[in-house]
Amino acid sequence: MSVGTPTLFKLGIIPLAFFFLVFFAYPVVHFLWGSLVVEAGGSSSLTLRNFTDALGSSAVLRSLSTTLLLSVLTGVVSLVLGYLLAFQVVRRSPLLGRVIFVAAIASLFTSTIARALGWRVLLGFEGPINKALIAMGIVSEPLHLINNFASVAIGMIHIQVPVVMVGLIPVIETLPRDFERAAVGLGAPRWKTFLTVHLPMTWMNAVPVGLIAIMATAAYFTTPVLLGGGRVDVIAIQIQQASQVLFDFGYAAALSVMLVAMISAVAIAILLFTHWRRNVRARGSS
Amino acid sequence: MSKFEIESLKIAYGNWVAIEDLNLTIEKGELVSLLGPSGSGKTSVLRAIGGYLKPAGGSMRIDGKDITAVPPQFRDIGMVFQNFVLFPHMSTVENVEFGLQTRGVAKSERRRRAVEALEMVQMDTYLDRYPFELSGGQQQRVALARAIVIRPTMLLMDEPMGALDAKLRERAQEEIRALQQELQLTTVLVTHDQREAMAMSDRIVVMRSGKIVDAGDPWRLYHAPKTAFTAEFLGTTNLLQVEVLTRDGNKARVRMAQTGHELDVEGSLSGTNAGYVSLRPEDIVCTSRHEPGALPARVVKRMFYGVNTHLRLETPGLGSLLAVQHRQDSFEEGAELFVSWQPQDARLLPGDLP
Repeated sequence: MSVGTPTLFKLGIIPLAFFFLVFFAYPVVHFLWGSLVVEAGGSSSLTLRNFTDALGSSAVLRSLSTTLLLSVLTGVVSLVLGYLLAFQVVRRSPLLGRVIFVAAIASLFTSTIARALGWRVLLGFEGPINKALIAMGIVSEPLHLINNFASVAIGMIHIQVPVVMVGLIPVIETLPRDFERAAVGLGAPRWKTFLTVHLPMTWMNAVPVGLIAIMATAAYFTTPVLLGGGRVDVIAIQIQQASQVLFDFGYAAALSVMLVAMISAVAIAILLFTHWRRNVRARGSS
Repeated sequence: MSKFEIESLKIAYGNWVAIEDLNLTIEKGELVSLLGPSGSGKTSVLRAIGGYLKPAGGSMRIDGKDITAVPPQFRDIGMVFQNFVLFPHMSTVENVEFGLQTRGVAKSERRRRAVEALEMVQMDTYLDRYPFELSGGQQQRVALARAIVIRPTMLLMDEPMGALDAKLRERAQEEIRALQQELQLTTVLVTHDQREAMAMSDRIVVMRSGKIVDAGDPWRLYHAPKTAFTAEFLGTTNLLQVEVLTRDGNKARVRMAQTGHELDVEGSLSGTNAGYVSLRPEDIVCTSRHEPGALPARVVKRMFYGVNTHLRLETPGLGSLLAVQHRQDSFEEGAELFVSWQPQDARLLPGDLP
């Protein structure tokens, strides 16, 4: 490394910082500022009216709770499924691992809209699942599998599992295999090794990856629209309505602020908890 | 404790064969070291014994019972890993109890036996400490207690001193050896540290590129190695590349490849005329007065180590030599002197360059 490199790095920050401020920070702050400003008859005034309106609306509160439930459910289920898949990729035969990995990457490459529409076909009134259920005599009439919370959750989990899996692979790879060898050598069956050694040593690093799924799901628009059929009213849909149907940008901004606040609260709670656990473990260990 | 046998073991990683046709018998209560540089296959053998690696061929027996196909959790083999790998989320006593819990030992019995094992390694006052609260030496003791508490048929140790300070190492070697002898544990120790292997073992197996090149008790291996590789790997030696001129029973006259200097040595090669002469630094006698048969030499570098002094010598006939001086007769750098040795100390050995 040449001596000049650090200086060059510092200079390189300037265009990035400029780009960040002009194209990200400024528009976002401007938009959010709009939530505090209400224009009435040519004059504008600072007010919390957009927020009091939103908090007073039962539709908004309902959609906030729907969003929270959907994103936490998606995060938890994706974390569990993603963890199991990542474990297979890292710890099992290289062939099986490669197959899973390629399948996950392939689905990441596929558009989320195409995947949502795929689920519409699969879960539809006359789709293969309903046909199979009727053919097997389990139900006599097709079930309403679509346009409900469950179908949206299935679609979201399908989108998040590969993301979480890819994020968890390094988490699992970091744990030296000797820990599992030690447990197995002491007579523990594979499942016990997984539950008593592997999981306790990796979960603190795995949970924040699940947090990514929660945060991404909370702001998702396409899947709830395509699989919810208007019945799953997440906050992203409310924001779209406010800004593009009602043209009330201040109200839309207020809803955005509330979404960010809610997800931040979840994130902080999770990070504090895992960070605290990590500190307990790492205290003086190095 | 048990007798352990390996017969024509083969280990392969994909198409690459790491170990082929390896045979080894370890007697009851014996401590055998697998010694070799990294990549020599010693850790692969240890993993195969523990069951963590599936051999591509061959068989392993404990007391005559074939264990080749037995999964590691049913082998009853204790293992001390490199870096000890104590479970960080369990206390000392929980770590030691782990192997008893998996065997369904009742809670009170479990605690009693765990404490007993920790007493053996003088760690019974640290029951509730977590691994991160223990020093390296203490962690090693707990790891040892965790391995022996299950009353294993044999004990495996993978570079057990690797994570310890040099000072602590010798003390730990002494203690582990004492415990191993007291419990009559059939033990396999993997190490790349020749001093450790010599100090602790009943028998050393020297490995190189997946093969056993020499095996025997430390004394024999050090003083009468079979190959130049063993001579170089155990302790320090001067290796001189030579060509055999004439043979006379177990003696030979050889010529140095580089200088053309001729000398008489112990041992005679069979099948080849090219080999090495091994001359241990401590066998070289340095004198300031010329004696019959002595060679002139000059001190190039002098290194004082307290217990002894190393002299790097330059000789016209033999090139660069290392000599070790004990206490007196310490020569200054640049001093002219004469070197000699007993005829049996210069050993002719077969081998390619180590």
